[in-house]
Amino acid sequence: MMVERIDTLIKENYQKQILLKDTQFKTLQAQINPHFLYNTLDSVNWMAKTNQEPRISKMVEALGRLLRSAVYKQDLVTIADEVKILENYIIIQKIRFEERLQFSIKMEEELDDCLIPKLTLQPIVENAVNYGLESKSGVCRIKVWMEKSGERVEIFVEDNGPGMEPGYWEKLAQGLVKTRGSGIGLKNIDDRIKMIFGEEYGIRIDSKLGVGTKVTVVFPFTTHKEVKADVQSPNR
Amino acid sequence: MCRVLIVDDERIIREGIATVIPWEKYGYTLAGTAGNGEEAYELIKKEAIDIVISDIKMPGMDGLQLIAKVKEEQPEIEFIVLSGYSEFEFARTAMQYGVKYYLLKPCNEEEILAVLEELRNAIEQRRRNSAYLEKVKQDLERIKPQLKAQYLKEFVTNQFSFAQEWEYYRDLLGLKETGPVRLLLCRVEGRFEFEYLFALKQTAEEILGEGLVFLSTTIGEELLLLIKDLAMEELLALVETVKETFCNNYGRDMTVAISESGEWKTTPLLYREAREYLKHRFYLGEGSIITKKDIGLDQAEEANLIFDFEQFGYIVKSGNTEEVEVRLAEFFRQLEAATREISGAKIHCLELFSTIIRYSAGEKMNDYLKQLVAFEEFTTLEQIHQFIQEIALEITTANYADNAQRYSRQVQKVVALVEENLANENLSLKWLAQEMLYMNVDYLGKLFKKEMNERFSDYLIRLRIEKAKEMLEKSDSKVFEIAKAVGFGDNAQYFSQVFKKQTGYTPSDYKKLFS
Repeated sequence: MMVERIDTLIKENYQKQILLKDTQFKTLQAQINPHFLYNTLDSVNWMAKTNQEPRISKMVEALGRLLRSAVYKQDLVTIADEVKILENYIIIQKIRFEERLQFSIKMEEELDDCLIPKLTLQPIVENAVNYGLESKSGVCRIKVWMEKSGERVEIFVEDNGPGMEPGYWEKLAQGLVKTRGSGIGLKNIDDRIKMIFGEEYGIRIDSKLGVGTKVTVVFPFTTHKEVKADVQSPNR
Repeated sequence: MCRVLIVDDERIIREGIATVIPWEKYGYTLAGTAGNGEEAYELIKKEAIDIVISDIKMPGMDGLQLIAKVKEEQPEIEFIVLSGYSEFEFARTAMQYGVKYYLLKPCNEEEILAVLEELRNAIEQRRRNSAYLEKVKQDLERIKPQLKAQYLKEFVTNQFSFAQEWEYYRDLLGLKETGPVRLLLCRVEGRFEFEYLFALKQTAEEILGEGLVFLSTTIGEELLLLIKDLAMEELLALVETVKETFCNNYGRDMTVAISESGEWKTTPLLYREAREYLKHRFYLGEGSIITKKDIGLDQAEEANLIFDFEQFGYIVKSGNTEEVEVRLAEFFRQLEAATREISGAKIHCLELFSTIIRYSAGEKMNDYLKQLVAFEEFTTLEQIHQFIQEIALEITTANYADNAQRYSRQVQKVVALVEENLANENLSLKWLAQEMLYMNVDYLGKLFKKEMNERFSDYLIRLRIEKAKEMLEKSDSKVFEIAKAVGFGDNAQYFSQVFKKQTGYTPSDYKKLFS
């Protein structure tokens, strides 16, 4: 009885926190005037082009697209769109870290239209980039690929970073440790997938200290037609 | 050459776009840049601009106001909108102004060039379309005089096949005057030479003027003018001038019949009237001007009856019973309104009666003639109507059956000729109509379709393929021989294609089915 009660309390608490985070995000979003931001990026872009600075131009354009897609009010996007967000992020990071960052992705055409919570892949890759480039002086290699087995979709993000200590992810998932990151963490992604698709989906981690980490995102195969009625944002 | 204007309040962006894009290389001309809506608007008024690339948010007149103002004055100018707003917000506003092309900031030269290319294609397509339309218009304008002449000819000889056709074509030809009209029917005296008739046409049109002459045409040896209705004295003076001028210039006299005035739709009757008048030139002398006044009162009364006996005769002959009933009802309705006593009406009815029986089969005509005595007994129009209708329908129905038989005989002839000439490459409906049956090809085509429930071309292909199948089944002929035998000449390949399309097999595969 006691255990059940504690469980309920924890759940309620989490949901409140998620709600709070969501509200904070929305406030933040409203404070930045996106029109100002995009116009400024456009000025920078044409200045860079006039001065023949293709790297600045490339970065600014990618940043503009990244911002646009991140701010766009939509919970679920197609894998194709989600990968575009990821690619824009990589364009920027490649210019910054040059050959120290090696990224590859393999798409599956049949999964292009499959829906995924927005900002699932980019934060995982960002995580890998941050840890990989920070704690090692060598080359950070990140590989992304995906598979469809039956009605389940699995997306893999593998890196050659520092890896995690055994049991770290389990503790994190139970809320027993706090991360030092400020972005969207692995736990947040896991929670969101479970909330949208159910407890049997989420994130799986295989990690070996000093060798690397493989994050697997598991969720059901759905396309627009199937979920349009309830999940689609009313603004569209 | 496509001329582009850039409008953005930020100098960096404006000049950035202007310098970064290699305009000439892609076939564009940068016509200018502007820092706000007003500046852009002034430039657009002065310069020839095809495409405007414009920001939305600008001080003073903003992008959307600029679009609204320019589209109102020069709707052919196209816009590409640059916007920092999200797609959704933008789409809502821009669609009101009919802007389809927009780019989200930050954008780049590839995106701009791609949209420019799309727009240029759209503009060129539109220009081609309007050039084509213009050419068609010009062509129509060029042949309009001939069309007008043909229109008048067909109108007065009752060749329009559906009601109000005269009105439809009148509007199509841009004839806006719809008030009352008169006809002038003119004849050049002396031996007929077309040159004189043509000269008369020129003279008359010149003197009467475009404002007066709506239509003119020559019919046989006569010139027919459809003119605006004028008071008779005024018109007589004008016609007198035409007569004198023509006589002075060409040394020929002319006779003119002037019809009464009437509505457009009565033109065929006015023509009949004018022709009647012209016949009186034997009594009144050549070179006179003949009006209704000159030919006495009897004729005048008749003119009140708007009924074309000749045309009615054709309807009886064609076998159209429904139309006969409609026309008869109309005739008697008019007769009732126009005449005061039965004996006067009987004269018209007798004319109608004789018109009808003229179109009965030869051996029956005498029987019908004998029934004339019945007219003696009739005391009401009602009785006459009933009597005439009965006989008219009888004759029309007989004509219908006769026609049907004759039609089917003609179609049977076609069928027999097709059998005989199947190997002839030139065999076609046109060939049959012109070379064998001496008939109008369109008419023959319609007749064939009606009788056989199949278009001639389909029938011919079907028959050729049937024959080919038979030969493949029963003979050892080679494919090229069969192609020749069923009218494909030396084109065995085309034969095979058609055969495959019709049967689903190639000729050789088909042959295998039977060997």
